[in-house]
Amino acid sequence: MSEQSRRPVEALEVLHSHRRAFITRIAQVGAVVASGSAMRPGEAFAQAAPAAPAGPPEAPGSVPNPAVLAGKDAVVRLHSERPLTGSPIAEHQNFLVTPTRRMFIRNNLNTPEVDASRHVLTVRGLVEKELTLTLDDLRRMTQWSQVGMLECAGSGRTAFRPTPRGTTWPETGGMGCPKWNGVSLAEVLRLAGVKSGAAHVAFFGLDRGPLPTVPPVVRSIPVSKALDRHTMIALGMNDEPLSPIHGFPMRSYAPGWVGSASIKWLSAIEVLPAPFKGTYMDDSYRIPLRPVAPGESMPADAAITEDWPVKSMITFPAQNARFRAGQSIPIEGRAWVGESAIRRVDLSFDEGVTWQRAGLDRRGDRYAWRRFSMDYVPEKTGFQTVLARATDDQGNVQPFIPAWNPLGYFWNGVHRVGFMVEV
Amino acid sequence: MAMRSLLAAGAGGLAVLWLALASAPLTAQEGAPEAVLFPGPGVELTTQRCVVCHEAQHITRTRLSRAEWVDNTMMMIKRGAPIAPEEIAPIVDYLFAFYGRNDDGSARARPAGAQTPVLAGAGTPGASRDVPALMAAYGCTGCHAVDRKLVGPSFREVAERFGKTADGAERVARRIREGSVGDWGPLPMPPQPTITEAEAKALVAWVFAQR
Repeated sequence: MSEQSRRPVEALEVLHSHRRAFITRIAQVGAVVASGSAMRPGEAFAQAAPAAPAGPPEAPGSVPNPAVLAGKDAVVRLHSERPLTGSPIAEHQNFLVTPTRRMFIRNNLNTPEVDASRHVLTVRGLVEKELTLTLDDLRRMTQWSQVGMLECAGSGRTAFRPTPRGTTWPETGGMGCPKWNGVSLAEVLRLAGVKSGAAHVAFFGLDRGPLPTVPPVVRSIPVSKALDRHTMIALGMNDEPLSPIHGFPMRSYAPGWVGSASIKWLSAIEVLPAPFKGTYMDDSYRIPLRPVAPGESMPADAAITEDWPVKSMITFPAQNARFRAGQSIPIEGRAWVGESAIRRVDLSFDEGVTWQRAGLDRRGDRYAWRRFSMDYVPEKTGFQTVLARATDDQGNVQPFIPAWNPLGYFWNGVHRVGFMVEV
Repeated sequence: MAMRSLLAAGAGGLAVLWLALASAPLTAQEGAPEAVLFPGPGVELTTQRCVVCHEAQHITRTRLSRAEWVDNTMMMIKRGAPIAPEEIAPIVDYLFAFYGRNDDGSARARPAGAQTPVLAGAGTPGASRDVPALMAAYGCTGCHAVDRKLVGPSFREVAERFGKTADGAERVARRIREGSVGDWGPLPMPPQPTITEAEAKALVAWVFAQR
């Protein structure tokens, strides 16, 4: 599908009106504070009682899908429209930092169009002092940034056999590693004062479904992860304000964890004595504690998904690429893991019989993917393959085929790319 | 049946397989699953209850065991699907009959005589894609038929009431995007805010042409 065919005139019109609105909003919000600044102690929070926004927030409108897709490259292939999901495959992800135009899309409900000037973030529950924060309040706190992974729990789902229900993520779609700009969630929670007895912190999104019966998206994470210094309230992506599809004006970001642990269009944070009870906690995003047979239902004692296991993918060459004999092929890819660190990546050119250690770039930000590479000169002509297999510092190695589970989460099988070497 | 009516209505135009729509913007890609459900017992109920929130491809791309279809239906009820307890069995029966998977992982054979669903109409001006594709994508035909009331009024009734007034087109287009209740009874039509204004306009033009 060509770029042109994805963008009808109507969509461009929508884009233009949408862009004007967005530019206006950016002007209202002001530029996101320059990134890269080291974390430093936050300045004293200026107002104990932040100024109330002008009037109560209205129920947000929704951004039409064409307006969202106008902000994405054509290689971001659609998987569904209601809700909107889409992703680029590995060969279109050959970046150290994922550009916003290549960042995957995963909505559960409609894309809300939030009025930032009226938006407030409520911090409540087991806290000493309930907070009501505006975007400006958050912008007055210490701004910092990190490059970090975000990956849907179901990323790679269609590689499972049989394929479980859910978003049809391709084997290497449903993840990205952009730069996140924002504030530490821990700083906000310290301002509110977390009371003893707190166990989980829940995040509430402003997105709404097509019917009034549809529950909102709410997910909680343990207090320990919420207070980790890397967990953010993100206000920007790649040094620009968040776009509507990625959670404008603010979202939570729990790095290394499944995407559902990071809530877009964040409107409330609630500190709880136990995990939040709700469909996004109790029905989906769960994984069996013990292996189950393909086709089995979810066991009652399944766990909520948290950090991603070790994983890698080959970003060059593209599937079925062609090369000349004698030509050196600069193979490269990305490796990542939720909460540990990548120790090594090995490549195989004989379907896994023997492995060779790939070069591994120095570690960057804690939760960023790492580039691996090898210049490979094929000894023979014809069709051949390369496999990549990452190992983390706990000794976990990517399997060829990970354990099947009812909702198709955590695909981290060895990635295999075929290419042709011509005489 | 809703889709047959839509099909019949478009018979004057080109009847095309959904595959022909693959090049249209915003639709699924080549080799993509059907944009409407297979006709068969339970298709109307399934369309009304599922396609109101999801495009049909969520179903047509999927092959599941009966137990998985039950699990999925129950999860969707928790996610707000308007499915009454007595509707679960006929919906699951339909889904397993037409989108079932055998225990060995292969796709289950559909009932004998199952007709591949087709979409009628092509080349609708003013829309980012053809009206039938829009209607399938947004589930309009789950609740509306051309010439008789289903859950909502027939397209013909809508055309009769609003097609003659000056602001009728604008009014109906707004109701498509923002939802509506009271014009035709107490059952609300859910808002479809992901439909663009241009698409809503094209839908209204098509509906008004059914008068």
